[in-house]
Amino acid sequence: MSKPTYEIADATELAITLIDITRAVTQGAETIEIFTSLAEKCVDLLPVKAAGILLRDVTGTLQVIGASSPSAHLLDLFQVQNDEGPCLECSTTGFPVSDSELSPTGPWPRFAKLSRAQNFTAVYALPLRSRDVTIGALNLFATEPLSEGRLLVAQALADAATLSLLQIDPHVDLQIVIRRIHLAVESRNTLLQAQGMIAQRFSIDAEEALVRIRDVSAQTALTVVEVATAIIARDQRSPAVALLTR
Amino acid sequence: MVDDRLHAIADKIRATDPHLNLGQKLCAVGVEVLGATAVSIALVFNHAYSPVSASSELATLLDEEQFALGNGPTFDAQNAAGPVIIEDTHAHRASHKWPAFTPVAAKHNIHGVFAFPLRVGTAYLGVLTAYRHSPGQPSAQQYADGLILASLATAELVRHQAGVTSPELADIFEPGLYDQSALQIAAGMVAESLNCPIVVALVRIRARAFSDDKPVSEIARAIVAREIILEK
Repeated sequence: MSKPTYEIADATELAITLIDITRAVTQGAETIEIFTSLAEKCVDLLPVKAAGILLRDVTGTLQVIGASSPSAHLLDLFQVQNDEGPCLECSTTGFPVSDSELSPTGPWPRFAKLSRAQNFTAVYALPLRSRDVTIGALNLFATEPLSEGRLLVAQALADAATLSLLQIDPHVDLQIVIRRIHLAVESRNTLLQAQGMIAQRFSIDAEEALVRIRDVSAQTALTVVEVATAIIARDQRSPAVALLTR
Repeated sequence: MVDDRLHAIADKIRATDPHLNLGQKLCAVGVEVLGATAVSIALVFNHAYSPVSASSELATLLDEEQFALGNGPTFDAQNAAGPVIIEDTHAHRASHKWPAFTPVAAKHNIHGVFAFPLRVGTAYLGVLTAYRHSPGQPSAQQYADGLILASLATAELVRHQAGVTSPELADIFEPGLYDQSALQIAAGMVAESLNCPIVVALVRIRARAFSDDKPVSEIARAIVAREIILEK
């Protein structure tokens, strides 16, 4: 079998994306920012409709850390994988999982049904791993099967983002990896709490609230987590809070 | 990584003395899995410290000293992003950072201190602290176990503040309960509409689940769907 080649519409785009991720990692960007951006880049660069990153926390629960879109349907698709689904299998075994049948009689009937309801026909889970330590999975949803070359591109992006958590040797300092995942989950919780406040303030849903928070983050050059923290603290001096006053 | 560890810890909690309350059980398990001399759970609510449970009087005393002095790893952990780990309170760096606490630790022959903030996003409820006679870093397993115990203690403190007193372990034992997306969004919505801190919103949601006799996650989903509105 010949070695598969990376397959991408625009190689320059891929190079820029890898540079962006590497730069974010080396500049110490927050884990949640790096993984959210990874999910968005997967949708930009590959023929996939949605992407998400799930990390396994200390209790063994798969936590959604980044998603290409915060739609409630998509979040349900991630959540259900604590019971069944390709991410559960992938993050347990450390090997990629693909399913382009999504059969109701397959290994994950509930997950398959939810995916089909969103018109997805092919689902992939790629491990976030370094040597034999798997910290989670990258989940891709598509309406047509992905070529092997494209999956390699996705894995390359996942590997780059994983380095942000595993810059150190995981065997030497597993404690640091556990700490980083824990902090990422708490940052995610902070963001959700702020989404709830903005959703209530403007009578919108949490998904729209996230869009507003991201807009304010872009306008103020604050990170989304900084914006969220200012919202919750009701910090009147923060420019982000001023932009989100009703 | 630590897949079935949550269940292993649940089993340990069930195996403790049935006369202990849930907080005391968490402390007892903490002594065992963290290799500690004493473990405490402290509540820090509205900036005020109050002791909740401890494996021994020594743990309560060491907490109280830190809050009285305004100095020490537990004091710092009350609003820290992640665990505050001290390998040895007698080492130069630790004594430099906590000059008031170090002599107290020395008096009681305490070397290692692991202080875990009881935190959900921006909501801080207190600290779970393990005090050790021996110096040293926690193993990765102990660090993870400390985080699991801290998340259970957080759930227990929310329950405690909500006035829920049933001794049910199942009550705090919805794995990842306090990390569920709907609960965090609901807490934000309640905090906004009642103009209260997130911690208070979490307590209000917990109390509502108790009075309706429904799971917290169900109440949270109903709040997000605007089917339930919590009144002032």
